[in-house]
Amino acid sequence: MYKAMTEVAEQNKDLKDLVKREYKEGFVTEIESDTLAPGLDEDVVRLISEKKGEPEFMLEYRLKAFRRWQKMKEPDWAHINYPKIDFQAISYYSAPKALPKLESLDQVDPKLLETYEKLGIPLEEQKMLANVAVDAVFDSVSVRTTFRETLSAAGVIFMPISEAVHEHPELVKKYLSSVVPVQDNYYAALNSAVFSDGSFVFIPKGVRCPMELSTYFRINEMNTGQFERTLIIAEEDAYVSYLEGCTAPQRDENQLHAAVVELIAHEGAEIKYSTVQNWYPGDENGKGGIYNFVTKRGLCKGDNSKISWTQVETGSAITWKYPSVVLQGDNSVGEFYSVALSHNKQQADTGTKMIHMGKNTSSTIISKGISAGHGQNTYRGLVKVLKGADNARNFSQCDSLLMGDRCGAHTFPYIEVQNPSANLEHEATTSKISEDQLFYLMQRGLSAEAAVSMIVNGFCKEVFRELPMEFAVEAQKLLDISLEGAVG
Amino acid sequence: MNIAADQNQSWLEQHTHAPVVGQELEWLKNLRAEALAQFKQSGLPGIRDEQWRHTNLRALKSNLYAHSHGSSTKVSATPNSTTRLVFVNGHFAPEQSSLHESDGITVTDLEQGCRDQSLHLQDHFSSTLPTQQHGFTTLNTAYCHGGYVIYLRSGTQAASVLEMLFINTAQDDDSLTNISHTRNLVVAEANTRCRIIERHQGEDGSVYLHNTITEIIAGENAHIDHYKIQQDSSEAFHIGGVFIEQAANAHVKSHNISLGGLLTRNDICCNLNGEGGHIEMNGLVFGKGRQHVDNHTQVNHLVPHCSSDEHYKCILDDHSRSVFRGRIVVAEDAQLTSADQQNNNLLLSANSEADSKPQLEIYADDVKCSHGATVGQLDPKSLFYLQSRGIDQQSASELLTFAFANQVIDRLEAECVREDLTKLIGGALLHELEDLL
Repeated sequence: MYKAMTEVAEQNKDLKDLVKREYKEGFVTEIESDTLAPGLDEDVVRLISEKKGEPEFMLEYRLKAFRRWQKMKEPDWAHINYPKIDFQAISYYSAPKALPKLESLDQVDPKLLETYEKLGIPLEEQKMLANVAVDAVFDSVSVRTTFRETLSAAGVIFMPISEAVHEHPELVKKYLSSVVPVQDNYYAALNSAVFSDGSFVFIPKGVRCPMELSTYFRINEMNTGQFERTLIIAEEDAYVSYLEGCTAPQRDENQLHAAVVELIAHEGAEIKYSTVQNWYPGDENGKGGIYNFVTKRGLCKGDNSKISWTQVETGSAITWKYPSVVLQGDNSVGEFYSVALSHNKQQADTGTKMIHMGKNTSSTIISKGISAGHGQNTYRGLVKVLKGADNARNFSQCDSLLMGDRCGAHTFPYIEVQNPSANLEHEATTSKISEDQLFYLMQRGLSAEAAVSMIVNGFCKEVFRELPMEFAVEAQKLLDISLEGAVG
Repeated sequence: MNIAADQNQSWLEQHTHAPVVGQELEWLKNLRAEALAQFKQSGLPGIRDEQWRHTNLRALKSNLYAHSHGSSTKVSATPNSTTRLVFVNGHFAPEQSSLHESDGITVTDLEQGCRDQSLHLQDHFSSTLPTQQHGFTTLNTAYCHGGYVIYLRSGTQAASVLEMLFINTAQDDDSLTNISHTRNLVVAEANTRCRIIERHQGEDGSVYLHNTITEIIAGENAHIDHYKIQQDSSEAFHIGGVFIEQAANAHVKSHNISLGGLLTRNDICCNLNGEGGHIEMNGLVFGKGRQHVDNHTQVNHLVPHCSSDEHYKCILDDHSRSVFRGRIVVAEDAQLTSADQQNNNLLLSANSEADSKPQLEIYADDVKCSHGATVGQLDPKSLFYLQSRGIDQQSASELLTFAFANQVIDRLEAECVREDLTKLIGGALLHELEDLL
């Protein structure tokens, strides 16, 4: 960690020149793609299903979800402001044209590879040394999946969900929407109706996934919404660590992203899900940017299971995201570690839900919010202990750091306890960077920027150390870049 | 949708014979008409409203209500103070009250207060209420028929405690439930000081609904202690509001003790409008039986250099349930704010429930704000320790429960209130201990 810190400090020497730096990932890849005209009705849902050659049960599932969605109302309780989204002005499907079946890297469209290279994704051979299997989702269709063979030797299934529908329909049928029902909320219903792709992971009984799995999401086409769907199942005593990273090109209009992620952990299984979200946040006047409305939920189905969410949210104009854990099995454990940063006109309303149902369940919530510029950062969380959840334990800590006098930090925790043997603690603090700390670091020779960066990294350390190594370094850099110009 | 509209209509019909005061006053008539229009639009809140999510009003709404036009109920309790106003079913009972009128201090009932033109109540009435009001608040404005008025002229101090006693009874006709709306006003000009103890009581087992709002306007450097001690009947519905506006350097303490009532809801809201203001909010809930107590507090830090300090503790036994929602808002530019909020819940029984929503909403950066919430039970180690010293389990648990409550009781400055509460919660054991000491 110390090494990483000095590294970061060194890099920051050049930060001043970079202050006016623009969104690094804001390029558009010119690839011919197959995009549906904007608009949404039953025909569009049928067309999506048809284009993907889906079996009948999927079409039924989508139509059911679509009909539910039509009857639902857009939620407005979150602490965010945005113009009303016109759901008819969005295209619900976009795929790179003429998808060939690929055997090796050479067959991938070089322009695509270039895109990933610009993003620094370990898809190339040299990067394979990093031992990361990548299921890259380019707009909506998975382009290729690396390492699939190694994984299948271990019995792990890691493939785009659109393929899983064909190859493992029984698993998809059994688990899809078993954690997030289609009618769960407005965006989940929309996603269920029109989702185009995403990842499917199945870890069989007793298997420890030999490598960290990773997906990379990128929104490329104009006016498209990205609706990906992720489903991860860990059977008895299995273990998997899954990483997710997101970027989008820079555009003046707002783009919608509504994903659903479902995790299922059977007895003794453990799932670790890490996200670094760096969607385009819009410019300093709040123009453009991604609207990120995501439903993520994990179910600790069996006894002694564990689900852990770690997220670093630096991008998106609007973030609406509450990764949750339902602690159904006895002795199950839920964790939530989050760093959310909102700069310029970004708004983040994020947090978690921990629903304690089984006996001796425990959950930990560590949330670090950083607001700068005109950013608004809200932590919203629910810890619920049901009647039968004897000896439930929860610890929540929500800290906010304010930089500048025009930003906001808000904390809205909900605690609902129906069992007297529960022990719950919630604490929250809000403060700014102390002048003393800054002064101390600066008199040791650090520039103001470097000092702030070091303090912010220290503030987030509890969360970063939960991230896999490569991600932790990336997250730190991302935080520095996102905070550029915030100190003045 | 239609059911709700019908329900609201029937509520209004039940108020057609409401005995409102000050009908001849134009300003009051306008206020009431406005509030009524607002009620017609909003109606009574329901669990679909975020602010009422945890409080089900079905039992309250199912009753048929009627006003009681005065009652001859006699108060037996001896007054703790020389100044005491008694309200029976919301109506002022002058024969049982001792009014106070001294240099610059006026303590009177709502009707007199509104008529007394020197008090200029039209400038204060409803001035502290937020723009977003729930149905009970607008109903209160539209139909209030009693309450106290305390007016302190600049530089005055009330020599003794001002005691306000609200007593409610059941209707003679069993099919009807008694309803009363009371509105209290405290206007303190600059450099004033007073302590108000508001007690709410009712004959045990009687069913009634008391909807009461207290408005406190604290001028510069005013020091006001407000106690609200609610010991209503175990079958009663109590809907209360305390709304406070503070000018520069004003210090207000709001103490909210909920012991009785089947369903209690309190909205306590404070606006800090001048630099150097300080608000202290203390709350204690002791729930038994099927009691449901819902406390909503809000502190708005609108200017720099103010501080707030909030402690709410809930003890829940049997099937009781407590809801706490505390919000601290720090407005843009309200720098150098210091705000602290604590909510602790003690669950004594397997069927009790605690819901807590401590909230911070902060738009300024140079602030120190924190909140904390806990839900737990009595510490088994402490229980064991006491038992190993020869104290039986029942007494040990009583002692620890009292210790928990005492953290709030200790903060109350009015000795008579402290003693009452100690007696009530401390139980027999504490008396024995006191004898020994």
